[in-house]
Amino acid sequence: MNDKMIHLMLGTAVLMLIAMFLDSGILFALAFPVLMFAWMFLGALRQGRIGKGYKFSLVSVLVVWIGGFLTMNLMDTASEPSVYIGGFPAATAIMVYIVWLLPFFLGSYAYGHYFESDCMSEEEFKTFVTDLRKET
Amino acid sequence: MNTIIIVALVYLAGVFAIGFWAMRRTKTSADFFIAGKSLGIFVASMAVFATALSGFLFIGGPGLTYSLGMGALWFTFPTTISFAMAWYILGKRMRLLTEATGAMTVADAVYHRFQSKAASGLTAVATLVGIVVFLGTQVLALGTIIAFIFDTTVVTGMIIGMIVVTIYSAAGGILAGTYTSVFQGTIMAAGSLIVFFLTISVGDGLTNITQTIAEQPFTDMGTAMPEFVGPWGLAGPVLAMSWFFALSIGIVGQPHVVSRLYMIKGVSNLRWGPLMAAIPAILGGLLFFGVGLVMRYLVMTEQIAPLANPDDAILVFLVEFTPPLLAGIVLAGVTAAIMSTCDAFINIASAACVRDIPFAFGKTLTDQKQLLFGRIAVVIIAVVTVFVVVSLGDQGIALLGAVGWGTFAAALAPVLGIGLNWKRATKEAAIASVIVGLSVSIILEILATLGTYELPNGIYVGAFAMLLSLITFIVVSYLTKPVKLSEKMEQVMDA
Repeated sequence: MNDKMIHLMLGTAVLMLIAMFLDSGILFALAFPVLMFAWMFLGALRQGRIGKGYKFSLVSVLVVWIGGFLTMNLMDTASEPSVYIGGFPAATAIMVYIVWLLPFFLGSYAYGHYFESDCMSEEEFKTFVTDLRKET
Repeated sequence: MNTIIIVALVYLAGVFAIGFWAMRRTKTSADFFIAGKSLGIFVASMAVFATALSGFLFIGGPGLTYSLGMGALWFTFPTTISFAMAWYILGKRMRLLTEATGAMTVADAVYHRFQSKAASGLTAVATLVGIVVFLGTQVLALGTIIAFIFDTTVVTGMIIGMIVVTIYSAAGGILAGTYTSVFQGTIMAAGSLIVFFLTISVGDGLTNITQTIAEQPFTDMGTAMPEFVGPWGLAGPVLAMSWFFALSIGIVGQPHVVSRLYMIKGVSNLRWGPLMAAIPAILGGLLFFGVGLVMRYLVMTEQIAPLANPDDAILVFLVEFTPPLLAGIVLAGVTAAIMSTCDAFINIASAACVRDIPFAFGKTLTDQKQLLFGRIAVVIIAVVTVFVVVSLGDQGIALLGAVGWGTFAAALAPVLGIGLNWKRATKEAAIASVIVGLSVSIILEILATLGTYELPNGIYVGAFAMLLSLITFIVVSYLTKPVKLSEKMEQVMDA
């Protein structure tokens, strides 16, 4: 699984470079969330596997980002806005409330919520330290 | 102005008191460089927030929003997830690494991962180069704000500011820096929230502000530009998304942020770290766009004249539209933001000088000598930085400022982020990646600042260099033969 994430990063990094030189917002909006997803997913893996909580959290963030960035890229932002949501034109409201704030819950909150089961429990940490002391 | 000065002096007294308290607790080099692995969750999170965001958020941020519109927000939007990114990919690994190997610096981590003094030494050099350029801009910002508060010259402001930072950094090491960051972070977060609500009040509501900006011609640009309040502002989609990308993933390459992960008391203290660091950062983000937008609104409704220097947005708003006591507290908070970043930089540069670079040449100092020389190094780095900033003048500062965050991100993020999570990574890849990230970033930034060459389509150099560094790291790893990891490193990476 670790190798798959590395391949995903390599492929999307190349696509991002192409998008930069072509100035293609759509291609960039498709590639960079996947790279960032692969980056976090790689960190969340333990011996090639990921806990269900972290998997759900990171996939949700990926869906929000791809959906949000693509939608913003496809909307006309150069004309006078007709709809305001929560103080902002519609496309900007997507940016503020969906792309900015939602990952706070899906990524940052979820990291703590699933920490004991998917990252490391205090017991596992104690065992890790005990094993180290035995070796030394 | 008297109220502002009194608040600033009270603040400085508080900082000195924390430095004195920390000095009494600093007895070993581990205390000096990694706070004796003693930080609880709130302290660690607040220190990461205060260190990561620096003066840019509070001075450059509102100014950038005033100039570019909502697109500038992609500089601050990573904060809801970037801390989590750092914790997902590095939090546990760094904390276990220091337990397993006694690692105290980013270069230590690279050495233990790749068993290469060359890779570790290059990391230390990249850290030192990045810190000198980043610190230079922080010192200038510090001088500017102190000059504003005390009505003195910028050079005098820089000297006063650096004397304060140097005293508490040399005395209390990272412990003093960390606890002043908590003090500072709390002021910054609370001040940001209050100022945000004031901006909304001054502009008669957020919808009124954005609608006015979207519909009226710009007084200083002549035409109506609805895209100013669109998601990309005047920056354009690829550039705005590049900022988001580079600042999200790039946080892993920031030594002043990453080294805090060593300092956390126990692994369970990692748990709510990203959430707690993100909350004050979100509040800072509100100030970032609140002040920038309302200042643009006030110019368009002819309540104030267009700003000659966009970076004055926060200062003008505080002086003209807030009570003096609040202005004093927020200005102290802004000073605090800059100081907390300065002290973290100085401490890490000191560690690079007395630990990492000597180690790369096969020398290791005793614990007491590291502590003593670490303190001396703090003073020397501070003096040299002020001297360099004063000597270079405006053009030099522009060169320094252009490099900043992107250099760290490009040189160090792939080596640390991927290196500590992928066993196939090799030392040759680490060396190549640091060289590519550092050189591409610095050369392109300098060429662009001198007007010699610029990447097409306004490509953000930091993002471009980081992508090249990442690709180099992966490709060279596959082209070279992996070395068997040490038993302890295996344990850290399997945990």
